[in-house]
Amino acid sequence: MKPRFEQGYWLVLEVVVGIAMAFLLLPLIFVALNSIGPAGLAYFPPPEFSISSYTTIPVKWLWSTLAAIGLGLSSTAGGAVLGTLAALALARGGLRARGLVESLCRSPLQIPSLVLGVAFLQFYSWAALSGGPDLRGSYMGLAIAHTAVATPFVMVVVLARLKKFDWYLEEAAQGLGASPMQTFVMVTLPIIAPAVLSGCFFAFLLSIDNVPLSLFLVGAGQPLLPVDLFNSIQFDLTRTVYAVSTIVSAITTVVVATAFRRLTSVFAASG
Amino acid sequence: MSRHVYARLIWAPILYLALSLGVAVFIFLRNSLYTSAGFGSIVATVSASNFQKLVSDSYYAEVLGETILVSFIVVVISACLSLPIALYLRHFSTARARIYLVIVVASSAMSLVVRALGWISIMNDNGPINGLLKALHLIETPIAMIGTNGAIITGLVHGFVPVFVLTLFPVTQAIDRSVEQAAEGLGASRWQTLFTVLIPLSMPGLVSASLITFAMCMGAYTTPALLAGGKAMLFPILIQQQAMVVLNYPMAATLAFVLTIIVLGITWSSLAAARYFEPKEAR
Repeated sequence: MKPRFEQGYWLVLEVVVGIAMAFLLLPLIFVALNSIGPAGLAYFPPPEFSISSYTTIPVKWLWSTLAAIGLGLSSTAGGAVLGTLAALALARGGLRARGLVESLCRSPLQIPSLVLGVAFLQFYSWAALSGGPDLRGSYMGLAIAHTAVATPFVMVVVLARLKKFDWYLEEAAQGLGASPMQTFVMVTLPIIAPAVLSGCFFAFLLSIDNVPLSLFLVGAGQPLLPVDLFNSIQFDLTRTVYAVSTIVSAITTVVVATAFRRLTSVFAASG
Repeated sequence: MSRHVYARLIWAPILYLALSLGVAVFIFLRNSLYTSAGFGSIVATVSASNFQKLVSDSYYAEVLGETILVSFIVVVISACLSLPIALYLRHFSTARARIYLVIVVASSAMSLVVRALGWISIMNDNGPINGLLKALHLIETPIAMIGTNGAIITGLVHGFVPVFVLTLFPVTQAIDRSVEQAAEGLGASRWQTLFTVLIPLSMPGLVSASLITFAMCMGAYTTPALLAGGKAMLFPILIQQQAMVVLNYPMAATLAFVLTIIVLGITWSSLAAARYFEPKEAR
């Protein structure tokens, strides 16, 4: 009796996990299937095989992709600097109100992006009405909000790395005559650089797909990929949207597969 | 560098966050106490009228209740799918297990907009499900799936399973293999080992992943908005409508404030739960 019972366990595990994987892949497969066919209104199955939905993608999608990448890169760069500084100060600074400061820096991660979007919208319209700069519908306004969200992402990963940091390395460098700046650039920074890059990777991925934060802050007609896709799906769902989405998911897959080793080592380290 | 140099570094992020996020949160909290004069204009008289409306009009409580129910169902289904995945990845290091891990990690990085589009393509009136049912003459008119809570729950589960697995994975991975072997050596079947050893030892991960997923689900906007198709109403969609359609900034701020309190409450209780489960010697 027992062996069959044991086999049942592994069979159930295989089947449940297999179904879960199919569930994860299914919608992406259907996005790709729907993208193949003549440009125009999408329905399934497509009437004929054609790649014209790809060859007729309007150039505006290129601009909105570049805008999203530019916003992601600039806010990630800002978040990398601010997040690393915050992590160094929290790990090494011996701050008195450490707990308070840390939860303050973490708060953009915990408040829903939708709420941050609403808050920044109301902030910018108050600033404009009070005679300040009008940041509504500008990339500057978007970048300010996205940087605030990117900062804790980098901070959390770097902070986890610094918990295992051997601070005697810094003392050794200074004992050997290195200046504080030399110590930081030649000893500390190279050691934490992989953690900074991993944090940047997550921050960039989040920024480039953050609809609820951007939706309130983009102006009418201002190109930005996730918001343009979001609006097109709701109001103008053509095969072009499927083609663009397929390209986006293909690029994501390639990027993740390339970064996979680094990602898994980060997950192992954070656990 | 010495400690006081490092301590000074905190001023850059603190000043940045205070001047951007801090001011934004202040303005929006103040707006929640003002009243709307319609079309985005605000009357600057302090009152609790928005909060009174929130309590007296049962519509808001209904939407909030619906959002909590949907989030709860999503968490339960996500847990039931994620625990087997985490246990599978813990047990096997085959090529298939590696592919599964790549699928989970790639899914977690995949655009939520694209993933919701996938569900729309499957569930819409001209989609494969309705097409198949029509071809089999089981239905005459297509079943409207978009806009139902079922569609939203499916999309949200799809959105959160990767996050759930990646939160749970380190915990199941850390379970000592000798404990499992000891249970088997003492004559426990695989099922007994699962229920008396693996699940209890996965509990810290299950609890924190569930709370994180619940908090993220309550605040999720992209997936519900796309799969609601203008029909279903959840709390985040309500906030977006107040801010962008009705242009009632004070009411949007009030609703967003309520959502934030709920989400932060859940997040903090998940942190407290993590501390509770943390082994004493590791503190």
